[in-house]
Amino acid sequence: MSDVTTSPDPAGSRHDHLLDHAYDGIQEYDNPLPRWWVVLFWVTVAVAPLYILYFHFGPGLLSIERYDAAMIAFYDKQAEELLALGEVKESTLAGLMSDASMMNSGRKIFQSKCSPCHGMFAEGAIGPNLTDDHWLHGPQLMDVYRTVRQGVPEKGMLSWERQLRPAELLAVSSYVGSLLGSSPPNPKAPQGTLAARQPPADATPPAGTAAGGAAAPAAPVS
Amino acid sequence: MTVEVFSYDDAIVRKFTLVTLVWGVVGMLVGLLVALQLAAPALNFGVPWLSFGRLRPLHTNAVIFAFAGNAVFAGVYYSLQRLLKAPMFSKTLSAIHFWGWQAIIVAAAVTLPLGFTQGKEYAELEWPIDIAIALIWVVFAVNVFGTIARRRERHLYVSIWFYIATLITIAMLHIFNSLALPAGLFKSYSLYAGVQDAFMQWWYGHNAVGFLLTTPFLGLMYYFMPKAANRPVFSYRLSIVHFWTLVFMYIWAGPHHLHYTALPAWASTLGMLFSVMLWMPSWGGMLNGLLTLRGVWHKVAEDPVLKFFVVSVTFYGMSTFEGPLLSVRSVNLLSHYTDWTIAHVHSGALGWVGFLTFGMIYWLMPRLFSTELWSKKLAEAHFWVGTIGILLYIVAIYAAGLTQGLMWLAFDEDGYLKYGDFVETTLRLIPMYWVRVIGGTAYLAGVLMLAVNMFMTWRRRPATYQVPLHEAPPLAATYLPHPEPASALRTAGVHLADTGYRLERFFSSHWHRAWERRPVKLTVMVTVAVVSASLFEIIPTFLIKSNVPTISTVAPYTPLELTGRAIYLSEGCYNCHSQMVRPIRAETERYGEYSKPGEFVYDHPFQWGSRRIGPDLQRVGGKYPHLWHVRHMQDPRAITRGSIMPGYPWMLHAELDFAAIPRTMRTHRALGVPYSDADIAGAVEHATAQALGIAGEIATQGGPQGLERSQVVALIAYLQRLGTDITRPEPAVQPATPPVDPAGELSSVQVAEAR
Repeated sequence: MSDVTTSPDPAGSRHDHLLDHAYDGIQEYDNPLPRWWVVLFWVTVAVAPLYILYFHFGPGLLSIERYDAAMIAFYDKQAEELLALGEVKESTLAGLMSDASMMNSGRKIFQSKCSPCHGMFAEGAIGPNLTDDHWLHGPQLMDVYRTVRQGVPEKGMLSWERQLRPAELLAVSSYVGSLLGSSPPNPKAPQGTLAARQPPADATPPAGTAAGGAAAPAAPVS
Repeated sequence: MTVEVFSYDDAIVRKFTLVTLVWGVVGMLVGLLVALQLAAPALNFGVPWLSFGRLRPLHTNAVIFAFAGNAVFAGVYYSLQRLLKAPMFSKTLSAIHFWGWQAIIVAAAVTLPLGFTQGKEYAELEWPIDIAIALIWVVFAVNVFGTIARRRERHLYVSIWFYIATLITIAMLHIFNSLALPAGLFKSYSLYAGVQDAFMQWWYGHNAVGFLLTTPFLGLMYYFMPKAANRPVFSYRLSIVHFWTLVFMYIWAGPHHLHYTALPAWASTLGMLFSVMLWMPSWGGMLNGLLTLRGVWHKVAEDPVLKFFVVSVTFYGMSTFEGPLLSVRSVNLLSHYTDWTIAHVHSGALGWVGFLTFGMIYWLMPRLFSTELWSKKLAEAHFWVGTIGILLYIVAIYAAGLTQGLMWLAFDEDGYLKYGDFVETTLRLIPMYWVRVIGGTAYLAGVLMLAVNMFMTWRRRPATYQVPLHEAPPLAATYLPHPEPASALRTAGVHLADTGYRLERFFSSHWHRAWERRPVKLTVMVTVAVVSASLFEIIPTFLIKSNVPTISTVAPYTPLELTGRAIYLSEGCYNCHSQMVRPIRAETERYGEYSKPGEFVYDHPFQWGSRRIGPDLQRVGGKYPHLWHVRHMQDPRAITRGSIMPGYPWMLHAELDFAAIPRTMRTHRALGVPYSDADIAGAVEHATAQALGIAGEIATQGGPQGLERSQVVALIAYLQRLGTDITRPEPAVQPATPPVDPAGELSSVQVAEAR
C-alpha cells in the first residue's frame, strides 16, 4: 500500500511541475506561491512599522491616553451639572425628585450598588428597610445623603464618597428619599426610631412639585 | 546495493487511537456538564469537586492534552515510520511514552477536581505532574529523533518539520511557564509575579495553541490529506515559506491576550502586529490542504474521510483569520472577556482539531484493523451530526459574546452605564447557553457514533494481524545532491551585484532542500527561530524597570489573606472572574479605577483571568460588608437574582488550615515577597486575630456566629483586600499609630494591616 504514489491530475490540463521526490508515496508539485498570498503577506508586514510609528511615536492615542480624554469629557459634563445645582441643601435633594432623569440614574445606582444589602426595592435585607418611617441615622434627605457619603463603617454601611461621583451621590440619596412609604414586597421589620421627615425649611420647593415631607409622593419612575 | 527488510509498529498506533477516543468522550462529557452548569447552575449540586471552577480546567486539560495530545501521538507514530522508512527507534520508549502519558492524564483527572492547581490556565497541573510531563515529552522526543537518525529516506518531509517544531517548542513553553516553587507535595507557587507572570502565561497559552493544536495537526494534514485524496501536495515552495514564517511569527503573538491590561503597551503592540502578520502564514497551510484536492473534489462527496478533512481545513482558515482580527486592539476591546473568545477556540477545537482527528481515525481504521470500516453510513452520519453540532455551538456563542460585549460597553444618553447590573448581561445569555448545550450534545453524539464504528470494526479484525514487511536500502554514506537550477536572472542576462543573485536564490527556496537532509541543522534552526522570537519579548519584559512602576502603598498580603488567596486559586475562581480593570470608561464606571502594573508585584501567580462569566473582582475590596460575602457564598441567588455562580456553602464549615500558613509564607519569601522572620513566626497568631476580627463583624452584622476557623473568613479577608492598596494613604502619613517592631522598622505585614 505504501508503494503506490499519489496520482497527478488525470486530466493533465495543469502545467504543474511534479517534483522528483516522494515520501511514502506522497508527491509534491513545485507550484509558485499564489500571487495574492504574497501581496497580502507583504501588506501585513508593511503595516507593522507604520502602526508603531503612528501610535508609539506619532499622534495616535494609546489606551490610557484615550481613557483620560474620555474621562475629561465626562467630568466636564458633570461639572456643568453640579454648578447648575449649587450648594446641596434639603431643598436641592427634594427638588431632584421631580427630575425624571436624575431619578432614573438614582434608581440604576441603587439597583447596582445598594440593592445587594438593602434589597431591589429597598425592602431591607442585610441592611435596613429604607421605605418605612423608622430611621437609624435620621429621616431627613440630608441625613440620607450624609449616610450614603460617609457610611457607617461599624454597622457595615460603606462610604460611597470615593466610589460614586457627586451627581451620583445626589441622585441616589434623592432616589432613596423618594421611596418613603412605597410598601415593597417582603419588607424587613422596622429598625431605629420612628421619625417623620420635615419639609425643607430653607427654600420654597420648585414650582409644580408638592411640598416635601413625609407625605412626599415617590416621583414617577419607570 | 544491500536492501534491508523491516516492518512498522502499528500496535502503538492502535493504542494511541483508542485512548484518543476514550479521553475525547470523557473530555467532551465534562465540557457538556460545565456548559449545562452555566445554563442551570443547580447542576453544580453543591458538591465541591463538581463546581464549575474545578471542572472547567478538567475539561480544557482533557480535550487539549488527552484528546488532541493522544491524537497527535497516534498520527505521528503512524506517519513518521512510513515517511522515514524505519520502525520507531525503541518499542520500550513507545510503551513508556504511552503509559506515562495516560498516567499523567489520570493524575490530572483526579487532582483537578480535588482543587490541586497552580492557578494558571491550561497549565493548572501541580509540580509533580509537570515534571512527569517534561520527562515523558523527552521520551517522545528521543524516540522521534532516534527514528530520524535511523531513517532510510534521506530527506525529511514537511510533516516531520512540523513535528520537530512541536517537540522543541512545547518543551520550551511547558518548562519555562511552569517554573514554580513547591510549598508541599500538592501545592506550588509560580516563580513569576503579576505582569511578568501574565506575560509568561500567555506566551505559553497562545503558543500551546500554536504548537500543540496547530503545528502537529498541520503535520498530520500534510500526511493524511494527500494520502486520503491520493493527490500530490499543491505546493512544496508554499510549504517551506509558510512553515518558517508560522514557526517564527507565532511565538511573538502571545501578548494579544493581554490588550488593555497592565502589560506595557509596546508588548501589546508587538502581539497585535505579529498576529496580523501571522494571517498569511496560517492560510498557507489552508491553501496547501484545500488545493491538494484540485481535480478530486468529486471524491469529497463520496468519502467521509475527505469530508472531515475539508471541513477541518476550512475551520482552520476561518479561525486563523479570526485570530488576527481578534488581536486588533479595537476589536479586542469588544471581544475580550466575552464568549466571543470561547466561540473562537471552539471553532478551532471542534472544527479544525476534532474533525482532522476524526478524518484521520476513519482513514486509519481499515489499515489498523486490517478489515473494512464497519459502516460508512454511520461515518457519514457522524460527519453531519458533528457539523450541525459545531454550527449550533458557535453561532449561539458568537451571539452571546457580541451581546454581552455590547451590553458591557453601552452608555445611556446621560453618560451612565446602560446595564449597570452585571447580572442583566448574564441573564440575556441563558437562552444561547441552552443552544450551546444542544450543539455540544450533537457533537458528542457524533463522537459516540465513531466509538461504535470503531468497536464494530475492531470486532471484525483478523485473528492475528499480518505485519507487512518492507524493503529499502540504507542511506548511502555519501550523497550527491541534484544540482540546483541555474539562476533565472543570470540566464536572462540580468547583471546584478552578488547580493542580487543571493536574494534570488533565497526566494527560490532551493537552498531548503539541503536543510531537509540535515535533521540536526533543521532542528537547530527551528530552535533558533522560536527561542530568539521569545527572547525579543521576554528580556525587555523582565529587565525594563519602567514596565512595572512601583506603588509605595502596595504591601504583601497578610497571612490570612494569603491563605484566602490559596482558596481562591484552588476553587478556580479565575475561570469566571477577572482581576483586571481595563482603562475604558465603561469598565471604570462599573468596577472602579483601572488596574496598574505595580499592584500585582506580590501576586504569585497572577489572577487576571480571561473570561468574565461573573464580574471583575480587582476592586471588590471594601465594596460589600463581610456579611454580604458570607450570604453570597452560601447562596449567590439569594443575593443576586439570576446569578449563575455556584454556591459554596461548605466554606462556612470547612476548617482553615492555620498550621500551613508559615510554610506558604516561607515559599513566598523565597520567591521575593518581603516577609520578615517576625512576620512568619507570628503568622498563625496574626491570622487568628484577623479571622476573629472578621468573624466578629459578621456576627455583629447579624450573620452566623463562630466563623473564625472557617475557610470563608480567609477568602473574605482576601476579597476585602483586593484592589484597596492604591487608595490607602502613604505609610509615612498614616494617622493611626501602627505597631512598630524593636528595630524601629515597620514590618511588611503590619504595613499591610495599617490600612
